[in-house]
Amino acid sequence: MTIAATLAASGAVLGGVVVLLAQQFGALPLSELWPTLIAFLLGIVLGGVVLGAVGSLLDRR
Amino acid sequence: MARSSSRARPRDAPSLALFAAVAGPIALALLVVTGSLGAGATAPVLTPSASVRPSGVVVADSNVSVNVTWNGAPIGQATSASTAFVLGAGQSAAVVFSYTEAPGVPAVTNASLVLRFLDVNLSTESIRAATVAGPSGSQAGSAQLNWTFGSLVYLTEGVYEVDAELLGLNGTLLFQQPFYVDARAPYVIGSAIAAFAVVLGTAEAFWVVTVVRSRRVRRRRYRGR
Repeated sequence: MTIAATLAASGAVLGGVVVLLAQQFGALPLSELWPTLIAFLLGIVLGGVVLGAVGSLLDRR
Repeated sequence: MARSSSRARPRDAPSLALFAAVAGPIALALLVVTGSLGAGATAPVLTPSASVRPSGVVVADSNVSVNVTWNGAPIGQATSASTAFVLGAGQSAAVVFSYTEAPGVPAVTNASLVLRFLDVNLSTESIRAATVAGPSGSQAGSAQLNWTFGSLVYLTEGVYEVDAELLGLNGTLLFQQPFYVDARAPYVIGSAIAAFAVVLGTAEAFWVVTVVRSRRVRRRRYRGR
């Protein structure tokens, strides 16, 4: 498995966890399910894409 | 040569990827099921259908007049997640339906409480209503349900929509009014999920750093040859 894929997977988990913790501790003022779920999914996608891109750069080098 | 070397698999990559692939869905499932997606660990809130379903009263027959109370308070007080009735673990609530029907309206036969989640009926508790014929053909009656989450409250913490319904013969819907109930579970569940998320996040961050560092070390070794 490439570094990009590894980092993308970790980034996805991290993104989701960060969104959930931010919401849990009040940094994200979300209390309804669907906005929270959308933010959670966005965190997963963004975390995966960003860290996947970093991993891709590392792979190319 | 250099290309194949740069594509070398980090030693801990398979276990890391496996962990990441498994931990994410597990964390999501835990968080969704326990309802700690809500605001704050002390009062985790799930509002499954506030935006999906209108919070207004649905009266299928305008000749039916209904008053529903939750431990004595009209359920019209709890029409949003923020004003939900609080129900602690192991507690039950007395829900009383009182109604009058104009002459000619099908008699109320059952009173029901429908617990809803994601716009889907999770459970229905029903009781036969005691309808009494009144003057000039009108009817009146009442029904009481002692409603509780039971032991499921540990799994169903959060704010839920509950529909109070009056049904006529053959299940005809005569009256429906949604309201919200905030089911509380012991604080430990919310804090455990938050702690799990912190540990998971820390572990993932550590492994990301490990992968990046191992990559840099390999590059230095390669350059040093």
